[in-house]
Amino acid sequence: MTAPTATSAPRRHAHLLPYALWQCRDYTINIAAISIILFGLLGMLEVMQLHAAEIVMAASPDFAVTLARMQQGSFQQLFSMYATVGPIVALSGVVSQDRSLGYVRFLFAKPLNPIHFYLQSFVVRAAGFFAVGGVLLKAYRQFEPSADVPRIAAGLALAFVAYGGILFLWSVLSKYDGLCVVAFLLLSVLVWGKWEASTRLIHVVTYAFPPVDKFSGLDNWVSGVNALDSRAAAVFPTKWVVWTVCYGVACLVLGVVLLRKRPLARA
Amino acid sequence: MIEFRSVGKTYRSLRGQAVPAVTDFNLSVNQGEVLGLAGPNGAGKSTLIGLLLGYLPPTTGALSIDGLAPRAYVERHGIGYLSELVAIPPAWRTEHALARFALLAGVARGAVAARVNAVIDMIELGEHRKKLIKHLSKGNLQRVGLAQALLCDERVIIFDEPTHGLDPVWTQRFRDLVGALRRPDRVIFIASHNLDELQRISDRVAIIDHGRLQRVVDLRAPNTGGTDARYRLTIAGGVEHIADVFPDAVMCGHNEFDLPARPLGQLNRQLSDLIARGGLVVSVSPAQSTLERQFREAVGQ
Repeated sequence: MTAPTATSAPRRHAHLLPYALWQCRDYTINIAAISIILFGLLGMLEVMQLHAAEIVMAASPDFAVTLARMQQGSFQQLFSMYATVGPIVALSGVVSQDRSLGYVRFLFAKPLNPIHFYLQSFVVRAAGFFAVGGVLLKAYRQFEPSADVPRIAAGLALAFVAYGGILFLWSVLSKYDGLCVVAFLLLSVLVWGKWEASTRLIHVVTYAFPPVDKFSGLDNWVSGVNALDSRAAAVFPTKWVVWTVCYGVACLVLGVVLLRKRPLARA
Repeated sequence: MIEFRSVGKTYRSLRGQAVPAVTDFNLSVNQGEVLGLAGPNGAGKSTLIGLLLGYLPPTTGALSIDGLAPRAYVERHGIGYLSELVAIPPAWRTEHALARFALLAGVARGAVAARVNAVIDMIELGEHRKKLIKHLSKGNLQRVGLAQALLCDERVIIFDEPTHGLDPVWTQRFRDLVGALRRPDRVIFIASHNLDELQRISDRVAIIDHGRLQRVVDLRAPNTGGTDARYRLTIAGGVEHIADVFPDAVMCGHNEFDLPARPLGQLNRQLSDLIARGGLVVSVSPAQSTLERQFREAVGQ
């Protein structure tokens, strides 16, 4: 449009880093509390089921082995739930809420780059997602053993980038970002299930969707459970993790580009 | 300082139909100026403000602020902006909302509290500072919106329907505030339906209709007593002489008469005649303000 020229007014910058404290506060009040209640209740149900099973099977000769498998399976289920749904809960509305409720109007009249603002928001929510995961894990460990903490942390980080990137893109595109992502992930599972093994050209359609089903192999690796052979060690599903995480990163980058290209607000 | 050059903005409907909102808009706004923007509903005022803040890209033409594209200007310097609908998360407290906006406006971290206190005092929000946004009345919410627009020393200030929801006292104070905000290096842009308000506080008013600039009324130009203004005459006595002195007067109320346009000299002579005959004149005023008249002509009402 117009070539930038020297201007007499001094340049100003929004103080984004201190603003992160406010974003943390928003996350704690609006998202962390709900996440802890939701996943905490699910965890409690799982722990109660395990305890009930322990009592029933206490007399069984291979009690110790069975119990260990049940504990692994139980933890895997909880991890899988938090690693999949957690990022969606954490990031839902990250961009779309400001747009649909008109908050962008005051925000971006300030000397503030929307990309910086929303990337910081993404990082704050990632930190919140980890913090909530830590609280839940600590609570769970009071009752049952869990997987290694480094594996859990790695698994959560990969899941957040993969699913979070997809959600970020949808949040730039639609005010119903959470619903869109759930529908999109379900569609991905369907598409991969139907055409992954196809020898026809339609097979290429699968490349447009993330291999969500395959990515769940990460849960096995985190919990140390081999889905096919319980005696064998769980293998890190490198190909599918790289694929899905790269898909998430690509979505994040596309979201950032679209954030710049799309109008910030409607008239 | 602000230049609109053949700016056009066309929206696309879901069916792909073009809906022009602003067409071939040309205007220069100089430093130190208070520019009003008037127009009927759907005239394109909000689109123009969206373009000015860089929220929307123009479809044709170009606009610049201080030589920069609007978004580039906003991201480097910020704009004091009060939107028509004040949208602030309802769970924020007034003082927290202002502290957040102050950080984003570029107020140094250590100076935020002092700056927030200053605008709270200026806009008299002291009793509402601890309240949640959702508990504020419409007028008080509008004042919070006004306060956040004044957190930093901006060179461009945009008010969109600024007195919407304000009581008469605050409407008057807003006028005083605009007077206090005037500065040789600052542009104040005010979009309003309230022509009386624009007449009182603006230097010029751009009248827009159907997305086109219809005319720019310069309110600083001296009133030369043009022949096209009608007058409203109110008297307290001498009603029986009106027909003789003002044969073209039309009674429009108790002791009130509409006088068709005439030169100021003729009006004064007729008034002297009426007073000489014993008439008691209470007031003579333009039946419509200059702006109102120009607005009606411009939008064809």
